[in-house]
Amino acid sequence: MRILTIEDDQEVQNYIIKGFTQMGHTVDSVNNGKDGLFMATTEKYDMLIVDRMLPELDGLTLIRTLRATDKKTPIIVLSALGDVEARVEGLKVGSDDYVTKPFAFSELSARVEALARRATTPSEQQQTVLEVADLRMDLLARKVSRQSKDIELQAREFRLLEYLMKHQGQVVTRTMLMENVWDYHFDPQTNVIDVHISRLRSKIDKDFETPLIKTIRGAGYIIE
Amino acid sequence: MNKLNRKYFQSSSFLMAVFFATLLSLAGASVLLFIYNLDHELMGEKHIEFLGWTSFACLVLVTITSFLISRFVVTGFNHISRTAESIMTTGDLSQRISIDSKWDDLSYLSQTLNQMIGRIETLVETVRRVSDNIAHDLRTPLTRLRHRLEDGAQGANPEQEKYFRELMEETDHVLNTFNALLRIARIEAQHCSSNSSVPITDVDLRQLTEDVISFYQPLSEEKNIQLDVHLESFPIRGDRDLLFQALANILDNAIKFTPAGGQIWIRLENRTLSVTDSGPGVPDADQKKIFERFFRSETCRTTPGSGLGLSLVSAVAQFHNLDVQVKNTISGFQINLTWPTA
Repeated sequence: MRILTIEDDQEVQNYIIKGFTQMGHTVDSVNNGKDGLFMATTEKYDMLIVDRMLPELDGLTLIRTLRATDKKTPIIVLSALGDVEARVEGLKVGSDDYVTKPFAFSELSARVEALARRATTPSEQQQTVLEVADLRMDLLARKVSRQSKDIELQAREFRLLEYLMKHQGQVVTRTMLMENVWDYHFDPQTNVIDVHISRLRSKIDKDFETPLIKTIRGAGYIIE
Repeated sequence: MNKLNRKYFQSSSFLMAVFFATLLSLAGASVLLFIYNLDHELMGEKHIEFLGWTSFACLVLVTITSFLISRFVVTGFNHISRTAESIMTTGDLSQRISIDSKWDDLSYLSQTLNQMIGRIETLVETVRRVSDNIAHDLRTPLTRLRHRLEDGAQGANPEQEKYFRELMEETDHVLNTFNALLRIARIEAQHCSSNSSVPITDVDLRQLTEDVISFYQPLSEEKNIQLDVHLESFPIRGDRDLLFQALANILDNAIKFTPAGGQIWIRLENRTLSVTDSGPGVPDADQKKIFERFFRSETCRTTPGSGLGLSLVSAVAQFHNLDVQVKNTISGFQINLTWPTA
């Protein structure tokens, strides 16, 4: 994947470049909005990572300008303004996702991957059956089975598993689950998501030899 | 609103004028009576009649003048009250009281008030800007700190890694507290109206409450707490994320303070959402303080928490114009959020 990061903080910039280069991606970087806009319009990238507060041209204006020229490159906004209100503003101008500083690299990479996959496989919506190893989910009949044994799930557990399975092989963070399965932007005081996952596990993994849902320390969950 | 559009006749200045007019006419009448009794021959009938008419004309003149003065004063005051109320409901501090003359006390008052509003506007603006700057200037170095810790954890042996993880958790804790504070400050600086930057939408409060409950259900089941839920349909306008956050904080607290095997009652009826737990309740002396930032009751020092959960509830309630009441009931602590009648 070819990624462009537009970020004025050198340290954060290096951290992003290092992380994605290690994962085998090509990363270009600029440190101000004007150069960023120039690079983004003249070169072809698979992903833009844009800081909100940039010298010369701020992040939101940059995105608005890009979207106005019909560039559809997926964009992730990085920002120290973490409020839900600021987040909504960021998404409104045409970015695809929003990551609040400080972020764990795992959070950013999980979102980059989720976004990249969404951009390359638009047909995902039409999938009616999801499969991970011997676990099978029928989206139409709303049935889940493992080794052809039916598993009863509550509606919310079903959505949780559906999201995990749609992102199989990818790390999914707690914030991503919160936003996509529950559809609310908020900070739970207690880590309720873990409790939801452990309940799902007790239904999916408990009676079987190989556990499918794994915890990635400091990052989130993965199903594979 | 009706209270502010006072009638001239009800104004204190008009009533005072009427009172003086009555006094004046009584005085005039007694003087007339005195002269009348003094000597009929000394003064002619004509003179007395003239005096009578003049005092009557004076009376009418006083009444008309007092009416005009009170009208002027009341209009001025209504205007000031309306501007003040508009500022309070919209939170838009750029409004000013319009001034059309310079000679009277009311214009002088308006001018002073305008200066005060201007000063408040600057202060609020500064607070907002400073908190934005803090957000940026403090979060960036913290980001670096976290990244370095993450880096350090990568090549470390298991024991060191555990140490790094603990440091990362500490950093996250600092950040979360700090984010929560900033968020409360920003919500408090705004008001639920069309020109706030928060998206106001139609919200089905029953659905939202059900979502919060379903989110927390596993937690309550773990503690074997019964949830007794009765919700009436209640469509409102507001910010769904903020409302979700407020309800989540309330329910989180209720579950935290209810002993295992207890019960929590959640009711949504008559424009009021009430959550009652079966915990130890809050000492009366502390009830006023629980919404203060970082306040933690002596009885709950040992339970985990930041002391910001209810401050956020209070900020969200204020944002939506809600009335918040708390009390101890026979079963436990109760918190009520009441929506104003439309």
